Amino acid sequence: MYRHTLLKIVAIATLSFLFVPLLLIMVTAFNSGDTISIFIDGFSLRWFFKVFKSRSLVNALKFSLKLGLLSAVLGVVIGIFASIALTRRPGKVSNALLNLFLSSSLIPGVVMGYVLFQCIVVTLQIPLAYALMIGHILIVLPYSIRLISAGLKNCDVSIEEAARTLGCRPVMAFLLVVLPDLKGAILSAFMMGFINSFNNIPVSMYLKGPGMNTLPYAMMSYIEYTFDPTVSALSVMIMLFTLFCMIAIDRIAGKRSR
Amino acid sequence: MKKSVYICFLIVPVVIVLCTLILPLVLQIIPTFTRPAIGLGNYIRFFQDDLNRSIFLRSVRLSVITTLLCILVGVPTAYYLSMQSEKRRRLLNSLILFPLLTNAVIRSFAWISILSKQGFLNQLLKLLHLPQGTFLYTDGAIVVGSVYLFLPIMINTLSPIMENIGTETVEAAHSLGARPVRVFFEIILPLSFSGVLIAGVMVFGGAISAYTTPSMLGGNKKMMLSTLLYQQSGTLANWDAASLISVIMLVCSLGVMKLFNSLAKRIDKREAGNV
Repeated sequence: MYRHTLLKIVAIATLSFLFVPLLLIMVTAFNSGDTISIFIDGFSLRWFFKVFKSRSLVNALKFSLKLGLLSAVLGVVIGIFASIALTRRPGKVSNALLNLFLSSSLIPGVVMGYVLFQCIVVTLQIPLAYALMIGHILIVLPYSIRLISAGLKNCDVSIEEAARTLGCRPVMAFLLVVLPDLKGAILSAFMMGFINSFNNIPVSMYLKGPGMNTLPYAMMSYIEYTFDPTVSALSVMIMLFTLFCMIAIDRIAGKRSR
Repeated sequence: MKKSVYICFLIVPVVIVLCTLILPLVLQIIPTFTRPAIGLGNYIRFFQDDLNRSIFLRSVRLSVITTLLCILVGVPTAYYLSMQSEKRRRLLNSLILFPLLTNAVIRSFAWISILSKQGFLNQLLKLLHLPQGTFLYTDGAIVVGSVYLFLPIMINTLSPIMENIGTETVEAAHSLGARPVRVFFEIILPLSFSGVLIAGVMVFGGAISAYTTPSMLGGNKKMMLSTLLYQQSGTLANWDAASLISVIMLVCSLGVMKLFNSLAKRIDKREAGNV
Protein backbone atom coordinates (compact mmCIF):
# COMPACT_ATOMS: atom_id res chain seq x y z
CA MET A 1 0.00 0.00 0.00
CA TYR A 2 1.13 3.52 -0.76
CA ARG A 3 2.55 5.33 2.23
CA HIS A 4 2.83 9.04 2.12
CA THR A 5 5.66 10.43 4.23
CA LEU A 6 4.05 13.82 4.80
CA LEU A 7 0.97 12.12 6.19
CA LYS A 8 3.10 10.01 8.49
CA ILE A 9 4.92 13.07 9.79
CA VAL A 10 1.63 14.84 10.56
CA ALA A 11 0.28 11.76 12.33
CA ILE A 12 3.42 11.30 14.42
CA ALA A 13 3.45 15.00 15.29
CA THR A 14 -0.20 14.78 16.36
CA LEU A 15 0.42 11.76 18.53
CA SER A 16 3.42 13.43 20.18
CA PHE A 17 1.35 16.58 20.74
CA LEU A 18 -1.18 14.40 22.58
CA PHE A 19 1.32 12.51 24.69
CA VAL A 20 4.38 14.66 25.33
CA PRO A 21 2.60 16.98 27.83
CA LEU A 22 1.40 13.98 29.84
CA LEU A 23 4.86 12.39 29.74
CA LEU A 24 6.43 15.67 30.93
CA ILE A 25 4.09 15.63 33.93
CA MET A 26 5.19 12.09 34.71
CA VAL A 27 8.87 13.11 34.66
CA THR A 28 8.29 16.09 36.97
CA ALA A 29 6.53 13.88 39.51
CA PHE A 30 9.82 12.12 40.32
CA ASN A 31 11.81 15.31 40.85
CA SER A 32 13.65 15.47 44.17
CA GLY A 33 13.76 19.28 43.92
CA ASP A 34 10.94 21.65 44.80
CA THR A 35 10.03 22.90 41.34
CA ILE A 36 7.99 21.53 38.48
CA SER A 37 10.74 21.12 35.95
CA ILE A 38 11.83 18.63 33.32
CA PHE A 39 15.45 19.14 34.31
CA ILE A 40 15.05 17.14 37.50
CA ASP A 41 17.61 17.40 40.33
CA GLY A 42 17.38 13.73 41.18
CA PHE A 43 15.02 10.80 41.47
CA SER A 44 12.68 10.76 44.44
CA LEU A 45 9.27 9.48 45.42
CA ARG A 46 8.69 12.12 48.09
CA TRP A 47 5.91 13.95 46.20
CA PHE A 48 3.91 10.74 46.09
CA PHE A 49 4.08 10.57 49.89
CA LYS A 50 3.23 14.24 50.11
CA VAL A 51 -0.06 13.62 48.30
CA PHE A 52 -1.19 11.38 51.13
CA LYS A 53 -0.05 13.91 53.73
CA SER A 54 -2.30 16.60 52.27
CA ARG A 55 -5.56 16.25 54.13
CA SER A 56 -7.63 18.23 51.61
CA LEU A 57 -6.47 16.07 48.69
CA VAL A 58 -6.95 12.77 50.52
CA ASN A 59 -10.43 13.73 51.72
CA ALA A 60 -11.38 14.90 48.25
CA LEU A 61 -10.05 11.67 46.74
CA LYS A 62 -12.12 9.58 49.14
CA PHE A 63 -15.20 11.71 48.49
CA SER A 64 -14.79 11.54 44.70
CA LEU A 65 -14.37 7.75 44.80
CA LYS A 66 -17.49 7.36 46.92
CA LEU A 67 -19.53 9.75 44.78
CA GLY A 68 -18.32 8.18 41.54
CA LEU A 69 -19.05 4.62 42.66
CA LEU A 70 -22.47 5.42 44.08
CA SER A 71 -23.63 7.46 41.10
CA ALA A 72 -22.22 4.92 38.62
CA VAL A 73 -24.07 2.07 40.38
CA LEU A 74 -27.34 4.01 40.56
CA GLY A 75 -26.96 5.35 37.02
CA VAL A 76 -26.32 1.87 35.64
CA VAL A 77 -29.24 0.27 37.52
CA ILE A 78 -31.61 3.00 36.31
CA GLY A 79 -30.07 2.65 32.87
CA ILE A 80 -30.66 -1.11 32.71
CA PHE A 81 -34.38 -0.78 33.43
CA ALA A 82 -34.79 2.18 31.09
CA SER A 83 -32.88 0.42 28.30
CA ILE A 84 -35.07 -2.68 28.60
CA ALA A 85 -38.19 -0.56 28.22
CA LEU A 86 -36.73 1.46 25.34
CA THR A 87 -35.43 -1.47 23.29
CA ARG A 88 -38.34 -3.85 23.88
CA ARG A 89 -40.93 -1.32 22.80
CA PRO A 90 -39.36 0.55 19.92
CA GLY A 91 -41.33 3.40 18.45
CA LYS A 92 -41.68 7.13 18.33
CA VAL A 93 -42.13 7.52 22.09
CA SER A 94 -39.07 5.39 22.85
CA ASN A 95 -37.00 7.39 20.39
CA ALA A 96 -38.10 10.68 21.90
CA LEU A 97 -37.30 9.40 25.40
CA LEU A 98 -33.88 8.17 24.29
CA ASN A 99 -33.11 11.62 22.93
CA LEU A 100 -34.31 13.13 26.19
CA PHE A 101 -31.98 10.92 28.22
CA LEU A 102 -29.02 11.59 25.96
CA SER A 103 -29.69 15.34 25.98
CA SER A 104 -28.03 15.85 29.36
CA SER A 105 -24.67 15.04 27.77
CA LEU A 106 -25.17 17.82 25.20
CA ILE A 107 -25.97 20.62 27.64
CA PRO A 108 -22.81 22.58 28.56
CA GLY A 109 -21.53 21.44 31.95
CA VAL A 110 -21.53 24.91 33.50
CA VAL A 111 -25.13 25.51 32.38
CA MET A 112 -26.15 22.16 33.84
CA GLY A 113 -24.40 22.94 37.12
CA TYR A 114 -26.03 26.36 37.30
CA VAL A 115 -29.52 25.03 36.54
CA LEU A 116 -29.19 22.21 39.09
CA PHE A 117 -27.95 24.68 41.67
CA GLN A 118 -30.86 27.06 41.00
CA CYS A 119 -33.48 24.32 41.02
CA ILE A 120 -32.36 21.84 43.66
CA VAL A 121 -30.46 24.05 46.08
CA VAL A 122 -32.03 27.51 45.82
CA THR A 123 -35.66 26.69 44.97
CA LEU A 124 -36.27 23.23 46.45
CA GLN A 125 -33.67 23.55 49.23
CA ILE A 126 -32.72 19.89 49.03
CA PRO A 127 -29.48 19.14 50.96
CA LEU A 128 -26.33 19.49 48.85
CA ALA A 129 -25.36 15.83 49.21
CA TYR A 130 -28.54 14.73 47.42
CA ALA A 131 -28.18 17.50 44.86
CA LEU A 132 -24.65 16.31 44.08
CA MET A 133 -25.92 12.74 43.81
CA ILE A 134 -28.67 13.71 41.34
CA GLY A 135 -26.24 15.81 39.33
CA HIS A 136 -23.81 12.95 38.99
CA ILE A 137 -26.55 10.46 38.10
CA LEU A 138 -27.44 12.88 35.28
CA ILE A 139 -23.80 12.70 34.17
CA VAL A 140 -23.74 8.88 34.23
CA LEU A 141 -27.19 8.31 32.69
CA PRO A 142 -26.43 9.15 29.01
CA TYR A 143 -23.43 6.81 28.98
CA SER A 144 -25.25 3.99 30.74
CA ILE A 145 -28.39 4.20 28.59
CA ARG A 146 -26.46 4.51 25.33
CA LEU A 147 -24.10 1.60 26.04
CA ILE A 148 -26.65 -0.73 27.65
CA SER A 149 -29.38 -0.22 25.05
CA ALA A 150 -26.77 -0.83 22.33
CA GLY A 151 -25.83 -4.04 24.16
CA LEU A 152 -29.47 -5.09 24.44
CA LYS A 153 -30.03 -4.57 20.72
CA ASN A 154 -27.17 -6.99 20.04
CA CYS A 155 -28.70 -9.65 22.28
CA ASP A 156 -30.50 -12.49 20.57
CA VAL A 157 -34.16 -12.21 21.61
CA SER A 158 -34.95 -15.75 20.46
CA ILE A 159 -32.86 -17.30 23.26
CA GLU A 160 -34.86 -15.41 25.86
CA GLU A 161 -38.07 -16.45 24.11
CA ALA A 162 -36.90 -20.06 24.13
CA ALA A 163 -36.35 -19.87 27.88
CA ARG A 164 -39.83 -18.38 28.28
CA THR A 165 -41.54 -21.10 26.22
CA LEU A 166 -39.69 -23.70 28.26
CA GLY A 167 -41.46 -22.32 31.31
CA CYS A 168 -39.02 -19.78 32.68
CA ARG A 169 -40.62 -16.79 34.35
CA PRO A 170 -39.84 -13.38 32.75
CA VAL A 171 -37.67 -12.16 35.62
CA MET A 172 -35.70 -15.40 35.78
CA ALA A 173 -35.34 -15.49 31.99
CA PHE A 174 -33.85 -12.01 32.13
CA LEU A 175 -31.51 -12.79 35.02
CA LEU A 176 -30.33 -16.14 33.65
CA VAL A 177 -30.30 -15.52 29.90
CA VAL A 178 -30.10 -11.82 29.05
CA LEU A 179 -28.01 -10.48 31.92
CA PRO A 180 -24.96 -12.73 31.35
CA ASP A 181 -24.97 -11.63 27.71
CA LEU A 182 -25.17 -8.01 28.79
CA LYS A 183 -22.30 -8.18 31.30
CA GLY A 184 -19.83 -6.46 28.98
CA ALA A 185 -22.11 -3.55 28.17
CA ILE A 186 -23.02 -3.09 31.84
CA LEU A 187 -19.40 -3.08 32.99
CA SER A 188 -18.35 -0.67 30.22
CA ALA A 189 -21.25 1.60 31.15
CA PHE A 190 -20.21 1.43 34.80
CA MET A 191 -16.59 2.30 34.01
CA MET A 192 -17.48 5.13 31.61
CA GLY A 193 -19.99 6.50 34.09
CA PHE A 194 -17.52 6.31 36.93
CA ILE A 195 -14.70 7.99 34.99
CA ASN A 196 -16.97 10.79 33.83
CA SER A 197 -18.38 11.40 37.28
CA PHE A 198 -14.88 11.25 38.77
CA ASN A 199 -13.54 13.76 36.22
CA ASN A 200 -16.45 16.19 36.31
CA ILE A 201 -15.79 19.74 37.42
CA PRO A 202 -18.62 22.10 36.45
CA VAL A 203 -21.48 20.24 38.16
CA SER A 204 -19.50 19.41 41.31
CA MET A 205 -18.26 22.99 41.48
CA TYR A 206 -21.76 24.40 41.88
CA LEU A 207 -22.99 21.73 44.27
CA LYS A 208 -19.98 21.33 46.52
CA GLY A 209 -20.39 22.09 50.17
CA PRO A 210 -18.47 21.87 53.43
CA GLY A 211 -16.75 18.48 53.56
CA MET A 212 -17.94 17.66 50.07
CA ASN A 213 -15.09 18.71 47.82
CA THR A 214 -14.37 16.54 44.79
CA LEU A 215 -10.83 15.67 43.72
CA PRO A 216 -10.63 17.63 40.43
CA TYR A 217 -11.83 20.77 42.18
CA ALA A 218 -9.45 20.22 45.10
CA MET A 219 -6.61 19.81 42.61
CA MET A 220 -7.62 23.00 40.85
CA SER A 221 -7.55 24.99 44.08
CA TYR A 222 -4.30 23.32 45.13
CA ILE A 223 -2.63 24.43 41.88
CA GLU A 224 -3.86 27.98 42.48
CA TYR A 225 -2.01 28.29 45.79
CA THR A 226 0.94 25.91 45.64
CA PHE A 227 2.85 25.06 42.52
CA ASP A 228 4.92 22.01 43.42
CA PRO A 229 5.19 18.45 42.03
CA THR A 230 2.52 17.11 44.42
CA VAL A 231 -0.11 17.56 41.72
CA SER A 232 2.22 15.88 39.19
CA ALA A 233 2.47 12.86 41.47
CA LEU A 234 -1.29 12.76 41.98
CA SER A 235 -1.76 13.09 38.20
CA VAL A 236 0.51 10.10 37.62
CA MET A 237 -1.58 8.03 40.02
CA ILE A 238 -4.84 9.09 38.38
CA MET A 239 -3.44 8.37 34.92
CA LEU A 240 -2.38 4.87 36.03
CA PHE A 241 -5.90 4.35 37.37
CA THR A 242 -7.42 5.57 34.07
CA LEU A 243 -5.14 3.19 32.18
CA PHE A 244 -6.28 0.35 34.42
CA CYS A 245 -9.96 1.21 33.70
CA MET A 246 -9.26 1.34 29.94
CA ILE A 247 -7.56 -2.04 29.91
CA ALA A 248 -10.42 -3.46 31.97
CA ILE A 249 -13.02 -2.12 29.50
CA ASP A 250 -10.99 -3.44 26.58
CA ARG A 251 -10.72 -6.91 28.13
CA ILE A 252 -14.43 -7.04 28.90
CA ALA A 253 -15.55 -5.69 25.54
CA GLY A 254 -12.93 -7.78 23.71
CA LYS A 255 -14.17 -11.00 25.30
CA ARG A 256 -17.67 -10.41 24.06
CA SER A 257 -16.70 -9.87 20.46
CA ARG A 258 -14.60 -13.04 20.37
CA MET B 1 -44.57 -7.83 29.28
CA LYS B 2 -47.28 -5.38 30.05
CA LYS B 3 -47.07 -1.74 29.11
CA SER B 4 -47.42 -0.68 32.74
CA VAL B 5 -44.22 -2.55 33.68
CA TYR B 6 -42.27 -0.63 31.04
CA ILE B 7 -43.71 2.63 32.29
CA CYS B 8 -42.49 1.73 35.79
CA PHE B 9 -39.02 1.06 34.38
CA LEU B 10 -38.93 4.49 32.77
CA ILE B 11 -40.52 6.60 35.46
CA VAL B 12 -37.37 7.18 37.56
CA PRO B 13 -35.05 8.45 34.79
CA VAL B 14 -37.85 10.48 33.18
CA VAL B 15 -38.63 12.19 36.49
CA ILE B 16 -34.95 12.87 37.18
CA VAL B 17 -34.18 14.29 33.75
CA LEU B 18 -37.41 16.25 33.37
CA CYS B 19 -37.79 17.61 36.90
CA THR B 20 -34.20 18.41 37.75
CA LEU B 21 -32.82 19.38 34.36
CA ILE B 22 -35.20 20.15 31.51
CA LEU B 23 -38.02 21.85 33.43
CA PRO B 24 -35.70 24.02 35.58
CA LEU B 25 -33.77 24.91 32.44
CA VAL B 26 -36.96 26.11 30.75
CA LEU B 27 -37.93 28.01 33.90
CA GLN B 28 -34.55 29.76 33.79
CA ILE B 29 -34.87 30.58 30.11
CA ILE B 30 -38.38 32.06 30.04
CA PRO B 31 -37.77 35.05 32.38
CA THR B 32 -34.86 36.23 30.25
CA PHE B 33 -37.40 37.00 27.50
CA THR B 34 -40.24 38.30 29.66
CA ARG B 35 -38.75 40.24 32.56
CA PRO B 36 -38.88 43.24 32.86
CA ALA B 37 -40.57 43.49 29.45
CA ILE B 38 -41.40 40.92 26.81
CA GLY B 39 -38.86 40.86 24.02
CA LEU B 40 -35.15 40.69 23.43
CA GLY B 41 -34.37 43.75 25.58
CA ASN B 42 -32.19 41.83 28.04
CA TYR B 43 -30.09 40.40 25.24
CA ILE B 44 -29.69 43.74 23.50
CA ARG B 45 -28.55 45.28 26.77
CA PHE B 46 -26.14 42.38 27.36
CA PHE B 47 -24.48 42.84 23.99
CA GLN B 48 -24.36 46.62 24.32
CA ASP B 49 -21.87 46.19 27.17
CA ASP B 50 -18.34 46.28 25.74
CA LEU B 51 -16.93 43.71 28.18
CA ASN B 52 -19.75 41.22 27.59
CA ARG B 53 -19.47 41.64 23.84
CA SER B 54 -15.71 41.12 23.90
CA ILE B 55 -16.14 37.95 26.00
CA PHE B 56 -18.80 36.61 23.64
CA LEU B 57 -16.70 37.37 20.57
CA ARG B 58 -13.62 35.81 22.17
CA SER B 59 -15.56 32.63 22.97
CA VAL B 60 -16.81 32.31 19.40
CA ARG B 61 -13.47 33.29 17.86
CA LEU B 62 -11.35 30.92 19.97
CA SER B 63 -13.82 28.05 19.48
CA VAL B 64 -13.80 28.55 15.70
CA ILE B 65 -9.98 28.65 15.66
CA THR B 66 -9.88 25.51 17.84
CA THR B 67 -12.28 23.72 15.49
CA LEU B 68 -10.31 24.68 12.37
CA LEU B 69 -7.02 23.57 13.94
CA CYS B 70 -8.59 20.26 15.01
CA ILE B 71 -9.85 19.69 11.46
CA LEU B 72 -6.51 20.66 9.95
CA VAL B 73 -4.56 18.23 12.15
CA GLY B 74 -7.26 15.64 12.82
CA VAL B 75 -8.30 14.84 9.25
CA PRO B 76 -4.84 13.74 8.02
CA THR B 77 -4.21 11.85 11.28
CA ALA B 78 -7.52 10.01 11.03
CA TYR B 79 -6.75 9.20 7.39
CA TYR B 80 -3.34 7.87 8.43
CA LEU B 81 -4.95 5.74 11.15
CA SER B 82 -7.48 4.31 8.69
CA MET B 83 -4.62 3.06 6.50
CA GLN B 84 -3.01 1.02 9.28
CA SER B 85 -3.50 -2.71 9.86
CA GLU B 86 -6.38 -3.55 12.16
CA LYS B 87 -4.20 -4.48 15.11
CA ARG B 88 -2.17 -1.26 14.97
CA ARG B 89 -5.31 0.78 14.39
CA ARG B 90 -6.93 -0.59 17.53
CA LEU B 91 -3.82 0.17 19.56
CA LEU B 92 -3.54 3.72 18.19
CA ASN B 93 -7.25 4.34 18.70
CA SER B 94 -7.04 3.39 22.36
CA LEU B 95 -3.87 5.46 22.72
CA ILE B 96 -5.81 8.47 21.46
CA LEU B 97 -8.69 7.62 23.78
CA PHE B 98 -6.40 7.84 26.79
CA PRO B 99 -6.08 11.65 26.98
CA LEU B 100 -9.85 11.86 26.44
CA LEU B 101 -10.48 9.87 29.61
CA THR B 102 -7.84 11.74 31.58
CA ASN B 103 -9.07 14.48 33.86
CA ALA B 104 -9.30 17.92 32.24
CA VAL B 105 -7.53 19.39 35.28
CA ILE B 106 -4.49 17.17 34.65
CA ARG B 107 -4.48 18.06 30.96
CA SER B 108 -4.68 21.78 31.68
CA PHE B 109 -2.10 21.43 34.45
CA ALA B 110 0.28 19.90 31.91
CA TRP B 111 -0.12 23.01 29.76
CA ILE B 112 0.26 25.34 32.72
CA SER B 113 3.62 23.75 33.49
CA ILE B 114 4.63 24.13 29.85
CA LEU B 115 3.44 27.70 29.32
CA SER B 116 3.94 29.38 32.70
CA LYS B 117 6.69 31.95 33.41
CA GLN B 118 9.13 29.33 34.72
CA GLY B 119 7.58 26.65 32.52
CA PHE B 120 9.22 24.17 30.19
CA LEU B 121 8.89 26.41 27.16
CA ASN B 122 10.65 29.34 28.82
CA GLN B 123 13.30 26.99 30.28
CA LEU B 124 13.94 25.75 26.76
CA LEU B 125 14.09 29.28 25.34
CA LYS B 126 16.55 30.22 28.07
CA LEU B 127 18.80 27.30 27.16
CA LEU B 128 18.76 28.38 23.53
CA HIS B 129 19.44 32.01 24.55
CA LEU B 130 16.22 33.18 22.96
CA PRO B 131 13.96 35.88 24.41
CA GLN B 132 11.41 34.49 26.85
CA GLY B 133 7.75 35.42 26.78
CA THR B 134 4.47 35.22 28.63
CA PHE B 135 2.29 32.46 27.25
CA LEU B 136 -0.08 31.66 30.07
CA TYR B 137 -3.35 33.59 30.44
CA THR B 138 -3.47 34.46 26.76
CA ASP B 139 -5.92 33.61 23.97
CA GLY B 140 -3.27 31.35 22.50
CA ALA B 141 -3.04 29.32 25.70
CA ILE B 142 -6.80 28.72 25.65
CA VAL B 143 -6.66 27.63 22.00
CA VAL B 144 -3.77 25.22 22.62
CA GLY B 145 -5.51 23.78 25.68
CA SER B 146 -8.80 23.41 23.82
CA VAL B 147 -7.20 21.76 20.79
CA TYR B 148 -5.46 19.41 23.21
CA LEU B 149 -8.82 18.70 24.84
CA PHE B 150 -10.85 18.02 21.70
CA LEU B 151 -8.41 16.67 19.11
CA PRO B 152 -8.99 13.06 20.33
CA ILE B 153 -12.75 13.50 19.75
CA MET B 154 -12.08 14.73 16.22
CA ILE B 155 -9.79 11.80 15.38
CA ASN B 156 -11.94 9.15 17.04
CA THR B 157 -15.09 10.37 15.27
CA LEU B 158 -13.39 10.54 11.88
CA SER B 159 -11.31 7.36 11.77
CA PRO B 160 -14.27 4.90 11.51
CA ILE B 161 -15.77 7.10 8.77
CA MET B 162 -12.48 7.05 6.89
CA GLU B 163 -12.32 3.26 7.27
CA ASN B 164 -15.80 2.95 5.76
CA ILE B 165 -14.69 4.66 2.59
CA GLY B 166 -13.02 1.36 1.86
CA THR B 167 -9.68 0.57 0.38
CA GLU B 168 -11.14 -0.43 -3.02
CA THR B 169 -12.00 3.09 -4.10
CA VAL B 170 -8.67 4.42 -2.90
CA GLU B 171 -6.69 1.62 -4.53
CA ALA B 172 -8.62 2.03 -7.76
CA ALA B 173 -7.62 5.69 -7.84
CA HIS B 174 -4.01 4.78 -7.07
CA SER B 175 -3.82 2.19 -9.80
CA LEU B 176 -5.29 4.68 -12.25
CA GLY B 177 -2.33 6.89 -11.45
CA ALA B 178 -3.74 9.42 -8.99
CA ARG B 179 -1.16 10.81 -6.60
CA PRO B 180 -1.89 10.42 -2.85
CA VAL B 181 -2.53 14.14 -2.41
CA ARG B 182 -5.09 14.03 -5.19
CA VAL B 183 -6.69 10.89 -3.73
CA PHE B 184 -6.95 12.68 -0.42
CA PHE B 185 -8.55 15.81 -1.82
CA GLU B 186 -10.75 14.22 -4.49
CA ILE B 187 -11.90 11.00 -2.80
CA ILE B 188 -11.29 10.95 0.94
CA LEU B 189 -12.28 14.53 1.71
CA PRO B 190 -15.54 14.68 -0.32
CA LEU B 191 -16.66 11.28 0.98
CA SER B 192 -15.93 12.14 4.60
CA PHE B 193 -17.12 15.73 4.37
CA SER B 194 -20.32 15.25 6.36
CA GLY B 195 -18.31 13.38 8.99
CA VAL B 196 -15.84 16.26 9.24
CA LEU B 197 -18.80 18.61 9.60
CA ILE B 198 -20.32 16.59 12.46
CA ALA B 199 -16.99 16.14 14.25
CA GLY B 200 -16.20 19.83 13.74
CA VAL B 201 -19.48 20.86 15.32
CA MET B 202 -18.82 18.52 18.25
CA VAL B 203 -15.46 20.21 18.79
CA PHE B 204 -16.97 23.68 18.46
CA GLY B 205 -19.76 22.89 20.92
CA GLY B 206 -17.30 21.35 23.33
CA ALA B 207 -14.82 24.21 23.09
CA ILE B 208 -17.43 26.91 23.65
CA SER B 209 -18.92 25.12 26.66
CA ALA B 210 -15.70 23.91 28.33
CA TYR B 211 -15.05 25.43 31.74
CA THR B 212 -11.93 23.87 33.24
CA THR B 213 -9.45 24.69 30.48
CA PRO B 214 -10.42 28.35 29.89
CA SER B 215 -10.51 28.94 33.62
CA MET B 216 -7.07 27.41 34.21
CA LEU B 217 -5.29 28.67 31.08
CA GLY B 218 -7.14 31.95 30.55
CA GLY B 219 -7.91 32.89 34.13
CA ASN B 220 -9.71 36.13 34.86
CA LYS B 221 -7.70 37.97 32.21
CA LYS B 222 -9.11 36.17 29.20
CA MET B 223 -12.66 35.27 30.08
CA MET B 224 -14.94 33.05 28.05
CA LEU B 225 -18.73 32.63 28.32
CA SER B 226 -18.34 29.64 30.64
CA THR B 227 -16.01 31.42 33.07
CA LEU B 228 -18.24 34.51 32.93
CA LEU B 229 -21.27 32.37 33.77
CA TYR B 230 -19.53 30.91 36.81
CA GLN B 231 -18.31 34.33 37.92
CA GLN B 232 -21.83 35.81 37.67
CA SER B 233 -23.60 32.92 39.41
CA GLY B 234 -20.97 31.33 41.66
CA THR B 235 -19.38 34.43 43.11
CA LEU B 236 -21.63 37.41 42.35
CA ALA B 237 -25.06 35.70 42.66
CA ASN B 238 -26.27 37.70 39.69
CA TRP B 239 -28.95 35.22 38.60
CA ASP B 240 -30.46 37.29 35.78
CA ALA B 241 -27.13 37.65 34.01
CA ALA B 242 -26.30 33.99 34.64
CA SER B 243 -29.57 32.79 33.07
CA LEU B 244 -28.96 35.06 30.10
CA ILE B 245 -25.45 33.67 29.55
CA SER B 246 -26.83 30.12 29.91
CA VAL B 247 -29.24 30.75 27.03
CA ILE B 248 -26.48 32.24 24.87
CA MET B 249 -24.26 29.23 25.58
CA LEU B 250 -27.08 26.80 24.79
CA VAL B 251 -27.75 28.52 21.47
CA CYS B 252 -24.02 28.50 20.63
CA SER B 253 -23.53 24.82 21.43
CA LEU B 254 -26.83 22.92 21.02
CA GLY B 255 -28.28 25.28 18.42
CA VAL B 256 -25.19 25.24 16.21
CA MET B 257 -24.94 21.46 16.65
CA LYS B 258 -28.54 20.86 15.53
CA LEU B 259 -28.13 23.23 12.58
CA PHE B 260 -24.97 21.61 11.26
CA ASN B 261 -26.16 18.05 11.89
CA SER B 262 -29.19 18.63 9.69
CA LEU B 263 -26.89 20.21 7.10
CA ALA B 264 -24.66 17.10 7.22
CA LYS B 265 -27.72 14.88 6.76
CA ARG B 266 -28.75 16.88 3.72
CA ILE B 267 -25.27 16.55 2.21
CA ASP B 268 -25.34 12.79 2.85
CA LYS B 269 -28.68 12.49 1.08
CA ARG B 270 -27.43 14.49 -1.89
CA GLU B 271 -24.30 12.32 -2.10
CA ALA B 272 -26.42 9.19 -1.98
CA GLY B 273 -28.61 10.61 -4.74
CA ASN B 274 -25.60 11.34 -6.92
CA VAL B 275 -24.22 7.83 -6.60
